[in-house]
Amino acid sequence: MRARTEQEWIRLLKDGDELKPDQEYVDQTRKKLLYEARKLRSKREKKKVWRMIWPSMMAVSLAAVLVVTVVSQTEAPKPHSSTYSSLETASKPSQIDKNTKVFIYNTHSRESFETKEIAGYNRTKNVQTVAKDLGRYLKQQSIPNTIDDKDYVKILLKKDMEFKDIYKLSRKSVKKAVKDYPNVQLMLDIHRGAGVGEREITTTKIKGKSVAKVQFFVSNSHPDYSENLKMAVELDHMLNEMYPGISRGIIQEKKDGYRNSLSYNQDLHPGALMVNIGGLENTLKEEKRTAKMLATAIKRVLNRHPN
Amino acid sequence: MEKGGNLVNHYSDEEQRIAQIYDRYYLDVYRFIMCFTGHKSEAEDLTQETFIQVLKSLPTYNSSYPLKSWVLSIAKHVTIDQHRRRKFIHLFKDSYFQQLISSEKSPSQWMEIKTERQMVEKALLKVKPTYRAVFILRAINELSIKETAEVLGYSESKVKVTYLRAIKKLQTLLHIEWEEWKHESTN
Repeated sequence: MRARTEQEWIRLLKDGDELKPDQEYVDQTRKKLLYEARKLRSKREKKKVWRMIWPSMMAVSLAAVLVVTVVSQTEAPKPHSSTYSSLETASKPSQIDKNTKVFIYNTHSRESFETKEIAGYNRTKNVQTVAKDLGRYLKQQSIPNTIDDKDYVKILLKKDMEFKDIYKLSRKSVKKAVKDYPNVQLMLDIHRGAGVGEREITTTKIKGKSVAKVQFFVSNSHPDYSENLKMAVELDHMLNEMYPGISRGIIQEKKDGYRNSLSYNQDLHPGALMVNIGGLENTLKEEKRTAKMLATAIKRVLNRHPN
Repeated sequence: MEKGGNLVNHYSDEEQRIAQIYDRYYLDVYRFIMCFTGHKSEAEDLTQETFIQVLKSLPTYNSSYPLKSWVLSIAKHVTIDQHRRRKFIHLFKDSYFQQLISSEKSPSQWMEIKTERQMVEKALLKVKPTYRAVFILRAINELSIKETAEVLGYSESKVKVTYLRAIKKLQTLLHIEWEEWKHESTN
């Protein structure tokens, strides 16, 4: 053996088998990368949607604060007639409770409580959970109700639609519900406030226990909105009468000028309302307490309107 | 199900892109890391880690920058970063190169080349990381001076100077080893 030249020992190093990866390793790593790419893509899409939800919800609350018209307490509630209800008598699936008086759904199905990150998703503590509780409490008050538990955010992701179009998805269900339930009096879209640092605004104490506050939203983008408004006023008054301070009142879009093209499905039924129960910083327990109180208030209001 | 020729294209753009980059550069990355660390299992881990980093950084990749240099700069970063952390553990493990010595009986000629190669590999692991990186990129990965400069964020003249120093250092180390080897084998 003799001393090698520079080029020779470089050659020696290069030709070594050690510099060739095992074929099996190469294939495995390729597969792993494809898997990671897929995972990353779905993660990004979810994030994209949350990024879109976030400002839009902020915008709703902000717009609300800026242009709120708190409805004057003098507007006397009048009994309303279900002029929107279809009289169609077509055959329906057996599981449909035709006596349903309250229809509950969640357009923003993934608004959650007790999440680690802002606008995070908690599978077991979200507005859908609150909707279920409300349904259960209404049943205890012997009010027939139906819950639409469709995960509209999931459908939106699947269909790759823009977030602003999410009401188109829930609209279909509400339309169908109007047909399916001729006795329906309330169609509640349960939401949750999205503001950060608003815990004090969205929380109050009732009988020594902290509960989430309720807020109604009425859209004036359709001609018959005053019917919806009356219903909201009745509920708002009843709530505050029974549990002082629990309702934050009603928010509306500006009376004239700007008109949102979105009616939030409220043009479909005079009892269609958007309800914010609590906010980002409330706990599910506080939400549940409110759901129970809301159920009691609904019972009383509906008793005034036998149909 | 959709009609037509959508079946072929069941990978997303991102999946296709990363597979393409991997196919083109996995050998370069693996060779660099293998030479740098001298450990097969570490080279495998870090090569995978490199491409996962590439995948994550793809959205921010500036396409005016040469792809090969970009990928290798990530490899360098991952290797130096991770290797620093893992070094301590590996001090107590037999290196992959050392394990090769104890393989079965072989023709003496083959053994001699093996041993010589091990000398070079051992010497390479002894020089400082900056020398090692420049040497591997230039000599093993056969990058141009310009490409090497891009990977390491050096000026071209710094690459030239560092490469010459690395070669000189390696040759000194090899000479010592060769002398030792000669001494041992004649005894």
